Amino acid sequence: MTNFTTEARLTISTDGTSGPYVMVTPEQLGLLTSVLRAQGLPFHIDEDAVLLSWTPALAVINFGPGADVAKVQQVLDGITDDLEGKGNRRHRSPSQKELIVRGDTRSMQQLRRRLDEEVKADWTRRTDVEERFRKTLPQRTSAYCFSKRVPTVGRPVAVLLRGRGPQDGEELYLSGVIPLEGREPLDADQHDQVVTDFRETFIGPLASGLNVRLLDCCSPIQPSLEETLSLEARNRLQSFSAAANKSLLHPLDLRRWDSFIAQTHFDDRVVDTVLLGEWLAEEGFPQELRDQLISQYESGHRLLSVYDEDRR
Amino acid sequence: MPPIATVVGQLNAGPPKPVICLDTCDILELVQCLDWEKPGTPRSVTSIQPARHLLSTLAVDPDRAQIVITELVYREWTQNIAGIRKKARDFLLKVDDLVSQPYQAAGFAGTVLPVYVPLSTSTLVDDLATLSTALLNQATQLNFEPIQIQLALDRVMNKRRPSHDGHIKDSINFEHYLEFTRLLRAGGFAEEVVFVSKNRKDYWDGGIARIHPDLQPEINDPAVQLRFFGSLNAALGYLHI
Repeated sequence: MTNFTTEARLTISTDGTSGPYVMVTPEQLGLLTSVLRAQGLPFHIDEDAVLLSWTPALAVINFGPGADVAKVQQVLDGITDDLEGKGNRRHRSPSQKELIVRGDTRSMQQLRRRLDEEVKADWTRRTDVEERFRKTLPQRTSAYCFSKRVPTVGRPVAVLLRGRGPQDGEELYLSGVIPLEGREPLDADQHDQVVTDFRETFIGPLASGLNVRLLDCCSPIQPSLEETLSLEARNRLQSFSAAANKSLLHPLDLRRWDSFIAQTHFDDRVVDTVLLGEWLAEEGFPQELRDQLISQYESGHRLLSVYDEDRR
Repeated sequence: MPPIATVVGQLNAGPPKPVICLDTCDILELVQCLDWEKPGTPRSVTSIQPARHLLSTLAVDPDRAQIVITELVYREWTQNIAGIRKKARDFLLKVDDLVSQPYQAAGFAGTVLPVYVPLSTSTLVDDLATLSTALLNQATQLNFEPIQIQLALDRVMNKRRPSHDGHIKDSINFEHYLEFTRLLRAGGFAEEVVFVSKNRKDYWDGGIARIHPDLQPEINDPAVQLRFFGSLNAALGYLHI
């Protein structure tokens, strides 16, 4: 499995019939391509290959049939440290696996025929769910649902698969994993186990011999704190943290914190205080200071709201 | 559109499931997020993923939860969606216009930039409108009840939240949801009933996503037990959906 969080080691993939490839973030693309050129390795780029929720598009670098896989992997290993520096430096929220199936139009049509016609031992087609699912999607979007009791999870689950992209023909992605028994949602590990099982026991074998790629990705379950803030609020929060005495807050630290509170109020943005607390913890603020800062955030925000209301 | 009592009867007779009462703004937000919060600051798009997740969950298991809206929510949505779609399209046009400026500069400077595909030609606005419509269509509507309209009017007359600034619509929704929950509880409904509204001005405790202290006693009344959330995401987390 290839993991595309930016901190991960880049691994060349060889599935599909169109040759080895690697996926990178836009930030990593420039460095990697310049190194590949310097090494004299031929490649071409599919820059709009994948769009993940909450993250920028990922690019696919294709090396073509007959590429020297070992040599490419050697190059990737050699620049891993540099690539990590080019990754997203933001705090990361927990992530989960995504699966995208992409190929040329003809191959995807063949895959869809196989989805319609071929029965895979453990997976059951759920046309009843598909009918309801399709009603929630844009017109002419293809929708599939397959269910199975996944052994590692111990519960029956439904996997939702939908089309996306121009003419809905070029890409299928796994858009949901929903348990069919019990009210507890799947945790991130269970979700990932289902995606892996679906890939290995269903869509992988089904796509065998076709010119399609199974793109395994990781994407955050929810946006990070920074992604919910305006650029100015983000800058003020980061400035506060960088300058703060994390053992005992200085009056100037508190002034910078107030400045952050004022900016979020001005932006009219709702800051999730749980996310804010987690962010402060990752930045090294002890529990006592985190509680103090969150409390000040809430009271400051409330005061500003009352002030606004009274002035209206 | 069934009267409140009919919906209550159906819920109490059917399989047990939690109820999610929605405000108009939370359904419109799925499209309205493509707009400026303030000049230079785009709105947050965090409402989309929870709505998508809820609809996927209900496609798999329609008995996992019941979405409920008032007749007023439906009417407000219908009246506003076209204008909001237009604003969203204008927003994308503006973004395209902004991006064209550095591309012009790059042309003069001889700098090569990656290909930019104009966002305004995409189906994004239509797709978000489809999502918003799907959420609306998933909901059961509560018919207008004259008593609840009168109670809402009383709030306006007495300047009581959520009509403290003289607007009646929020009180119409609030009174219907209070009565709906009260009748559910009277019939022995033991599942959670939650009310979601991102309307900070009228429902929230200042800028904090909890119910305003003035409204707290009404939703916490043992005969009601209606929980408030400032976002669908928070409500789904609470309901383990």
